[in-house]
Amino acid sequence: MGAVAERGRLIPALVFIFCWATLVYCPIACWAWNINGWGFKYGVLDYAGGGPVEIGSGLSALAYSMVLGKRQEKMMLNFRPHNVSLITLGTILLWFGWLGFNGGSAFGANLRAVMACWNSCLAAMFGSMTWCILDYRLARKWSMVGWCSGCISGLVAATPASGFITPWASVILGIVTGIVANFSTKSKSLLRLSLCSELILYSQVLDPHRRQHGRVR
Amino acid sequence: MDVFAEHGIAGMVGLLFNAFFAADYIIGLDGVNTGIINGGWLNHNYKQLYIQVAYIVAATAYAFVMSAALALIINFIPGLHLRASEEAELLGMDDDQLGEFAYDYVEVRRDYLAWTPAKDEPSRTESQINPQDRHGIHQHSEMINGHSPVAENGHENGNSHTGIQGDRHGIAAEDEIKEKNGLPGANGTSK
Repeated sequence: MGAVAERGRLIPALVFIFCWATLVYCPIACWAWNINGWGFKYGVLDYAGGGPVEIGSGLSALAYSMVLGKRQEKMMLNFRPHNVSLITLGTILLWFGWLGFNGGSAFGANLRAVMACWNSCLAAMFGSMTWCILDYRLARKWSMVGWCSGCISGLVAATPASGFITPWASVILGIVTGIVANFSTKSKSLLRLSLCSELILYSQVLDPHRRQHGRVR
Repeated sequence: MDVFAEHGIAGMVGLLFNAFFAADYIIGLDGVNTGIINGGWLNHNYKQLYIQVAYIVAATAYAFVMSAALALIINFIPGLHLRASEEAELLGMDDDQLGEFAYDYVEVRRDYLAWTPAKDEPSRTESQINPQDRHGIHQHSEMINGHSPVAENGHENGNSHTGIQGDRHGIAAEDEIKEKNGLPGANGTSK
C-alpha cells in the first residue's frame, strides 16, 4: 500500500484492498496450500507465503502504482526518507513479527518452528549486511536505510524458504537476496514510476493488514 | 518501486532456493511431515526446480494482471478515482486526506488554526519565510548567516566558521580577485 504514497486517495485504496484480498491473495494462497490447489498437487514448496504474500504484494504494488501514475517530478526536489528512526523502528517491529509469521507457519511449537525462526534471522542478518556493503560501494557511507532494506528483503526471501532449507543455505539465501534485491531497486529508475520510501509506508500500513490475512493471525 | 524489488524479487529468490536447498530432514522436524514432502536438489529431487519456476511465473502473472485490472476498474468507478488532485498533492496527503499532520515542524509552515487547506501554493508560502527564521534555536540561525556562535562567546580560535552556505576557499579566492581590482572583498577583509 506504500504504492499510494503522496499521491493516492484513501477510500479507493481501501476498496482496492478488500477486492485484492478476495480476488488476488486468496486464489494464490489456495493454489499452494489447499489440498485441491494445483500447486499443492504439483508439489510446489511454499512455506509461509512466497507466492501469495510476497510476489502477490510486490506485483500488485507495481500494478497499482502503474495505474496511479508516478509522483510529480517538481515535488520531489527535496525527496528523501523523512525519518530514519521510524524506518528502523518499523523494520525491527517487522523482524519481530516475522518470527511469529514464519515460526507459526510450522503449525506447532516444534523443532521446525525453531528452525524457521533461525533461518529467518540468518537470512535477515546476511541480507542486511550484503545490502549495506553494496551501498557502501556507491556512497562510502554505512546506510541505516540500506540496513533496513536488506533486512526486509532477507526476511521476505526467508518466508517461502525458512521451513524447508538448511541453515547454511539460509546464509547463502540472505547474501543472494541482498545482491539481487539491491540491484533490482535500480530498475525503478528505468521504470520511472515512483520512488523509494514506499517500502517504509508499506511496512507500516500494509503489513499489519497482511498479517491478518496471513496464516498466523 | 522498492516494494517490487524487495518483496516481488526477494520472494522469487526465496522460492527458487526451495528448489535447490530444501531438505527433507528440515521439513520433517515438525514430526508430521517426516518423509512425506521431498526436498529439492539436496535430496536429488531435480524436477523441483521447474515446479518452483512454474509457480513463480503463475503467481507473478496472476497477481500483476488481476491487480492492474482491479485498480483500473476501481479507478473507473465515479467517486473512486485512485489519484488525488494536483493541489492535494502539493499540500500533501496528510492535509488532503487526514487533516492531521505528523511532521508539522519540518520544512513547511502551516496555518495551524485553519483546518481547510491554505490557498497559496507551498512554494510561495515558503519563500515568504526567511531561512534564518525557520530555526527555533538562535545559534542555528546565526550559523546559516555565516556567523560563528563560538566567536560570540569570545572563544575565537582561528578556525572561524564561515557559514554553511559558503565555500570558504571559493570566497577567499573571490576576495583576492576583488582586492586586485580595487574592490572591497565580500567579507570585508580588504584594508
